[in-house]
Amino acid sequence: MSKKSWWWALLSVPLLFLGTDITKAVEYGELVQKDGKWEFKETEDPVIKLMHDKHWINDEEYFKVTDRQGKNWIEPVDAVLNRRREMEWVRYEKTALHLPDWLDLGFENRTRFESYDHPWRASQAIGNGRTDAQIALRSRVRIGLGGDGPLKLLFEGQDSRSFLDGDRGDFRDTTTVNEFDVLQLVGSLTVNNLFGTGLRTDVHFGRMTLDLGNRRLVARNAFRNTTNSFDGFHWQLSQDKTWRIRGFATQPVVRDDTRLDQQYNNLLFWGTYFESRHFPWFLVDAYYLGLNDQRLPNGTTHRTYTTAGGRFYKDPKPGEPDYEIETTWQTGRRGVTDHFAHFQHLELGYMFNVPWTPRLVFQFDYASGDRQPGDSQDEGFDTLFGARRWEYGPTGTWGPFSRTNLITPGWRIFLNPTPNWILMAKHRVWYLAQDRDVFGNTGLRDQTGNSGTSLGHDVELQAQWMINANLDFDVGYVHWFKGSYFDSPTILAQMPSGGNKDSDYFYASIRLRI
Amino acid sequence: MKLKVLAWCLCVCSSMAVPSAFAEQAVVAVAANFVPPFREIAIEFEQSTGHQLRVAAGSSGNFYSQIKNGAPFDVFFSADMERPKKLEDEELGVKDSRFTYAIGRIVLWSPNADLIKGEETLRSKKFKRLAIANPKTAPYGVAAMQTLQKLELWETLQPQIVMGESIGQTMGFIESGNAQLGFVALSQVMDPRIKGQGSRWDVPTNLHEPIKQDVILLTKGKDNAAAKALLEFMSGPQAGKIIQYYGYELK
Repeated sequence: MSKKSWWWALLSVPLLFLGTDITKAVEYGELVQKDGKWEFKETEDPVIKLMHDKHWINDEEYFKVTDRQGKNWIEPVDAVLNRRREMEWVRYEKTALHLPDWLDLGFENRTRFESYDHPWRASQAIGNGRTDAQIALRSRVRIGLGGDGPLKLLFEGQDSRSFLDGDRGDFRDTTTVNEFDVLQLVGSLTVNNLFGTGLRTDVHFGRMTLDLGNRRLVARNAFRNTTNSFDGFHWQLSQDKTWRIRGFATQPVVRDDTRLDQQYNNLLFWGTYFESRHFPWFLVDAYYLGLNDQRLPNGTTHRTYTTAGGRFYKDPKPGEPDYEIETTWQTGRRGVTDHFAHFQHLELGYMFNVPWTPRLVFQFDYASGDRQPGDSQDEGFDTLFGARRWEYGPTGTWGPFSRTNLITPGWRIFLNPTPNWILMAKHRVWYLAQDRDVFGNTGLRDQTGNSGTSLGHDVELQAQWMINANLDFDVGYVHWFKGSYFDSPTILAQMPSGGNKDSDYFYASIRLRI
Repeated sequence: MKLKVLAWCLCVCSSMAVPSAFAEQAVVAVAANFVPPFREIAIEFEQSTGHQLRVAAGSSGNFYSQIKNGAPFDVFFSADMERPKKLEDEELGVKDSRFTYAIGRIVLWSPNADLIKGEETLRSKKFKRLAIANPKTAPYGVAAMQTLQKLELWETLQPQIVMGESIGQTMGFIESGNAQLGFVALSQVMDPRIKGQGSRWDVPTNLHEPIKQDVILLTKGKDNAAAKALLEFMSGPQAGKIIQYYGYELK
C-alpha cells in the first residue's frame, strides 16, 4: 500500500466516528447577558450527557442523575461532619455501573508538584541554594451504604505518599505520607423530625473526619496531603439552617506513615460547638473543647487543656462590608507547668459590586507564645487539630507559619473573573509574639531573645480553576522575604546553610474526582 | 485508489448521519415545575422531527423579565396563564399562538404514611405546621389558599401555616420535617423518588380555580420551524401521554 493510501485510510477514521456519532439535539442551560448580548450557556454535565448519547445509560437513569445534582443530592454520611464541597461531585462510575441509589461510590486523586528553596527548618540538612521538591499524591475511595435512609454507613480510605523526597534533609513526615489507611469508617442515624418538633438530629459513631467552624482548631485538611481523623461519636441537633449544636467525644487518630494508624486510651478529645444563624450580619459560634494527651510516660509532654471561644462574623456579599472576629482562650496544664494561652483573629472585608467582584480583606492574628522558657507558666497557644492554608498560605512541604507564637497583620484580594476561576494575591507581615519561644514547628529558638521577632513578610499569588466539581487545578507561588530573626548568629547556627536567604515556593496541583 | 474511494464513501455516509440540513434549533424557556416531563417530551420531539432544542429551566417570573429585556427565547412554557397573556398583549408573543398545555393538580402530602386521611386531617388540626407556597408568587399557592378558603379553614389554620417562596421550597419544608404536611404539586409526588411514599389527598378540582399553564410562541421564534413544530407536538398524543403520566391534566 502506498504512503498516500495510508494517509487516506487514516483520515477516514475520524470521519467514520463523526458520521456514526449520534448527535444529541437537546441541550440544557440558561440564557445569560454578556456585554449586551444574550448567550446560551450550557449547564449540563458533558460526561453524563456523553453517557446518555452513547446509550450507556438510559433515559430514566439520565434524568435521575441530573436531578440528583441539585436539591435531590443524596446526602452522604459525613455531610454534617464536614464541608459539603468535600464530598459533592458527580459519581460517574456509579452512573456508568448502574449502581442503585443506596450505594455510593467515589474516587478521588490529587497530584501536586511543589518545590521551594533555602529551607529553614532546624531538622533539614539541605542547603547551599538547593531546592526541596516533592510530588505529593493523595488518593481516596468512598463507599457508602444507605442512600437517603436514616441509617447509613461510610468507608473512606486514603493513601498519601510522596516522591522525590529521598534526599538527605528533604521534608517528609506524617503530614505528607500516610500509606493505605482508613480515613473514615462511620455509621450514622438521622432523625429528621424529632418527636414532631421539626428538629433534626444525627448520631455518628466510628472513625470520622471533622470540620468545626472556620476550621482553625479542628479541620478535615484540604491542602495537606494527609488528614486528621477521630475515633468516637458525634451528635448533632439542628433546626434547618437556623442553628445547630454539636457534641463529640473522641480519641484522635495518630498517623503512622507506613503502618495502620491507631488511637490511644490516654489521648482524648471532646467538645461541643454551637452555631447560630439567626442574624445574617451577626452570625455566632461558641465552643468548648477539651484535650487530654498523656501518651508518653514523660510528664513534660502531657497536654491537658480546656479551650473555649467564640466566633462572630458576616458572610461576604457584593456591595457589602463583612467581618470576622474569633477569640479563643486556653487553660490547663502543659507538662509540669500551668498553661494559659489565647488566640485572636480579626478580619474586615469588602466585596465590590463590579465585574470580577473583587474582595479586599484586612486580617490580623495574634497567637500567644511562651514568655519565659523554663518558668512555671506556659503561654504558647496550641492550635489543636486546625488547618491554616487559607490564612497563612500553602502548607504541604512549605507552611512555615503556625497558629502559635505569632503576630501577623496582612491583606489579601480575591477576584472571580468567572464563577469557576478564583485569583488571589496576599501580603502578610510576620512577627514572633514572644522572642524567646520557638518559631512555629520549625524547631528554631533563641532562648535569650536576642534574635528579635521579625520573621519578614511574604507575597502569595494563587489561581484556582474549578472546571467542575469533578476536576480542578490549583497553582500558587510564594516569595518570603525573610526578616532579621534569621540573620542572628544563634538562629543561623540552627538552620541549614543559606536558610536565612529569601525563599520561593511554587506548587501546581490537579484534582480529579469521579 | 480503492482506499480513496472508500474514504469518500465514508464522507458521504458521515454527512448522511448528521442531522438533516432542514433541522432547526429553538431556544425554549420552561417553568421549573414542568422540567421533568419536558425532558421526556424533548427526546420524543427530537426523535420525531429531527429539530434541536436548547432548554432553559427556571421560574416563570424570571423568564418573563428576561424576555422583556430582550432574551432571544423562541417559546415560553409558563407555570401560569398571566405571563404569556401579558407577553401577547405587549406584542412580545405571537397573537393566537397561546394555549394551555397542562393543568396542574395540587395534593396534600405528608411523608408520614398514617397522617393524611382526606380533608378531615386538615379539620382535625393534629399537626404543628402546614406548608403552602406563597399565594403572592406561586400559582400553586393560590390554589392551596382557595382550597382552604372553600373548606373554611383559611382563617383558623393561619397560626399553623408556613409559606414557601416556591412550590419547590414548600416541598423542602415537608421533606425536612419542618412542616408535617403541605400542599404541593401532584407532579412532585409523582417523582419516582417520592412516588408511593407517605400519605396524600388529591385535592378535588372543584375546590380551586384550575392551575392552567400556558405556552406561547414568542415573536423571536415566529419564523422558526423548530419552535412551531414544538407547539404542534405539544398538542399531540405523544406529549399528552407524558404530561398525564406526571400528574397534570390536559385541557
